[in-house]
Amino acid sequence: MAEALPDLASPAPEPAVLPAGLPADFAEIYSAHSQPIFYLALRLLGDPAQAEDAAHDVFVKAFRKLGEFRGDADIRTWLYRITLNHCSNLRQSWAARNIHPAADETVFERPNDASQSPLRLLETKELGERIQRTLDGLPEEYRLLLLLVADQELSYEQVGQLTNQTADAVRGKLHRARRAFTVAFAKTA
Amino acid sequence: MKPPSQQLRQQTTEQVTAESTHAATTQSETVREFATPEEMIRHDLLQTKVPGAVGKRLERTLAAEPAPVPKPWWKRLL
Repeated sequence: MAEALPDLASPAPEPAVLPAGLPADFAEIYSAHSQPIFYLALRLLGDPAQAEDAAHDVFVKAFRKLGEFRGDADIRTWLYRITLNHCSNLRQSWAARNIHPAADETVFERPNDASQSPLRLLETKELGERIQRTLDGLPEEYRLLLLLVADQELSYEQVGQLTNQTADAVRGKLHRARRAFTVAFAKTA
Repeated sequence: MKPPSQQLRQQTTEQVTAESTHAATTQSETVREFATPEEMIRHDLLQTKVPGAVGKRLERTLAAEPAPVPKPWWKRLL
């Protein structure tokens, strides 16, 4: 986020390997953005194989539409837009074939001591699984907000553009989304 | 918007158990704390590598694609 402090605790993102067979300028785009795009698809779809397919398809779409890309928009935001639309279409087609119960938002609004406790975890490879289970239980809007805000390259304004709301609305809902995540995460232990 | 980075804590405990006079086993247990869910998600993102198969498949797909046609100048003005 624009006003965020640098995250000193996490290492810098490791750029993906530059695919030798891609056009040079597009290879740079892939190298710089494939990790957040793959991660967003992974957490929205919840399936590594589907996320691989989605990341591939997103970059194919981006390649085809590169001539239409307007330089006044941030390319990361543009790629996220393609990813969100692609994953939304996939999820809708799955939903048409399968019925899933909607997440009960009221559960996350209840006062709960767990929401006040810090997020602690034993660092193991199950972190990803716990985050996935937590996100899967959240309302769609909260899930999306948290995933987008986690990208420090996006401002609240850009998150608002991607989720069709104002930056102020993003700030307001983010507080509730954090609370909901913290409560739900504690239940995955 | 984001809490100060000083709130990040990392606790590391190391136990060294001597199994013999020549060998020792080190067990480390790391507990991380995150001030916000975004920090935890960001950490998870940084640990998540893009499978190499995605780039290789993209190379093959784009090799068969015609070069993207730039948008005409007059459409850029609209």
